[in-house]
Amino acid sequence: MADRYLDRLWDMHVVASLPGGVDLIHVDRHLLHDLTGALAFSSLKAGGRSVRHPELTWGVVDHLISSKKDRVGPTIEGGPGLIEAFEQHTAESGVRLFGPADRDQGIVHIVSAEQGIALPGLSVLCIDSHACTVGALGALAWGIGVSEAEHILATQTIRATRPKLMRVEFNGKLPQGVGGKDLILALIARIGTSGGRGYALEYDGDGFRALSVEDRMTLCNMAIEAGSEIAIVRPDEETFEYCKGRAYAPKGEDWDKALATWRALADGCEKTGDEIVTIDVSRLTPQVTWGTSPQQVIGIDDPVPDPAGADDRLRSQMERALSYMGLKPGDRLSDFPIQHVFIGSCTNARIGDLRRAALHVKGRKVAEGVRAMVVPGSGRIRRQAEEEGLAQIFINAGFEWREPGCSMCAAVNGDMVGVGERCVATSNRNFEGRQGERARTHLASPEIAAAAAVAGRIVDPWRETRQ
Amino acid sequence: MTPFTEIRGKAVPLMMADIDTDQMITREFLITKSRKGLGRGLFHHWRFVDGKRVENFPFNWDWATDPQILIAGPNFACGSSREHAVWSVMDYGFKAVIAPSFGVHFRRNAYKNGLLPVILEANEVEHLAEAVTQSRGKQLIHVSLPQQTVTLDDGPSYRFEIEEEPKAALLEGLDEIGLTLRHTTAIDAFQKNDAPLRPWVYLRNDR
Ligand code: SF4
Repeated sequence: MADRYLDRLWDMHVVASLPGGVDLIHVDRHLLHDLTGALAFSSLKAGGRSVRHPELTWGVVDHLISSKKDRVGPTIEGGPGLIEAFEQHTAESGVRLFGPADRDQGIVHIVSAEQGIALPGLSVLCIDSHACTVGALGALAWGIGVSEAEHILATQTIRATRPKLMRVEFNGKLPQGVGGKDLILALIARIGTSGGRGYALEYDGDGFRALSVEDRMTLCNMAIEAGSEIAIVRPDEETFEYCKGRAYAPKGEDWDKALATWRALADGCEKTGDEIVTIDVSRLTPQVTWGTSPQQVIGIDDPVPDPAGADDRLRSQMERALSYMGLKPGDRLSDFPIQHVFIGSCTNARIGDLRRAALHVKGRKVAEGVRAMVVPGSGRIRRQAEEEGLAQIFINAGFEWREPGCSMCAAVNGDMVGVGERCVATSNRNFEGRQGERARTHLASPEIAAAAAVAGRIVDPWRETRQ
Repeated sequence: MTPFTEIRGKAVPLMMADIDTDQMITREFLITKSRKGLGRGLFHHWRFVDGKRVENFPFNWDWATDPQILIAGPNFACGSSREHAVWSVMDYGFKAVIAPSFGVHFRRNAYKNGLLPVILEANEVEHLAEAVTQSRGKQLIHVSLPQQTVTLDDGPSYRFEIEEEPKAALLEGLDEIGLTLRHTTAIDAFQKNDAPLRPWVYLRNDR
């Protein structure tokens, strides 16, 4: 039996082994959000069942909530009703809710990490495909559907099959301006949007370990865009430091005991995988998507690729994407004016992201014709950014400084890109229509998004200084 | 859950690769308190543009009325875990989807709802799509879960693989929660053994 970090994590959560290779896995932490949470509760109740462990269950309002100041104004038809229903269900079941009025409300995957709900060694299941984000803390985390959430509410377990493991090693020294977002886009460009299917992705390597815990979350967040439901990271001292003192993290003696357990869990694991991918980060430039799939990625100064050389399946996709995005092979992204910049989402709306973005905005102005917004990932991040003066930097430059939530990432709260307009976004999905009707989304890091807001187009802010 | 054993019905092909669930059902249909009635949202913005039917979209072909089987391209329904994608496919009338591969969430969600995702080789899927299209839907497709076969009226017949657990659950229309609740003793025992080892996991009700 293999003794990799994934196996240790998996084995310690097996309640029972069922026929057909399916394990019944104990769910240590269960999270729901406003878009589908009410549905899970109402199905559960319709089946005459109740929540087995409300104290291990949390609700977060993020998708449907307005990001306007004081949450005023219309959001999306039916949205407020769903939020209300969710509030009612969680209250009736005794489930803790980070609701609209809660000062620590935010995006579920950001809240779970910063509240210490997600911790090393825990199984964390959430009714959302980006649940993999908190794998960065050494948790076993993946996203589920409504029916599965209902199953967890009733049983505190989930049926699952152990995935294979793809070990992804990022080696080398990170060049200037290259961070978590660029690494994950480069990986998806390499293995494709279905390359990770059937695998959990385990990230490692000196290039990866050099990243902050927050930046590691960015990499884990987009594992699902590589086709993988689970991303994991063997926790290290930095991870433990990140978790210490958080609201739901253990305290005192419990903390010491937890720390000893986590160190033992991470110590001496086999560093192998069923598949191994290595990426040399030392030559990477900032990565940007040009198309409508997260695998359609180029280095910021590279030309838009030509579908002519690609195989049939890729070619037709690329052609469709080019026409949707209004681009031709050989085009430079820097030649196209942009209309929106969205700095936000569970991928890149943490304090570190905002700090790095602010560096490119300080003392400058958002270009004419660009609507730029910053939507912090949580109330805590928003407050911290205000204390550090980051908010003022953005506001002075002409950015909208918004209330936390998913906002323009899923565009189900009234925040949308205009019809056919071009947007540089720090989020994770550039699918057709994701950010609005015929919206053209370019995914990039917070630095690139910030620089784009100022320049009015996609530019490499380090171009002069890069060797 | 309604059981699935076998069907013989009309199929429609939608062969583009990597169709994501954001395309299958767009934002306006996600805001719902019910799993029902989502069929009208399925590929809505591909079926209709500016309120007009897109005649060359397969679902709108004149013969493609009341299909029961969807034939799809590789990595069908990838992306977001929205279960609405499965509900809308089922509400549209489909009982089974045949593709070379599926997005992970879609496949699992399909099982939970009684929709059969069938994986065949890419060339087999293409052959089915061609036969159906050329006969303008007259060639029906027979999908048998007990036999694990997909058979075209004029042949051939293809075999598919499916894991034991979902197969049994689909055949009997079993409620998985009910099944798992039979393991309540094991769940209790797990938690009892685990609590002293990892006390920080088991938060108290009063937090
Ligand atoms: S920020 Fe975007 S990707 Fe993240 S949970 Fe919200 S909608 Fe999903």
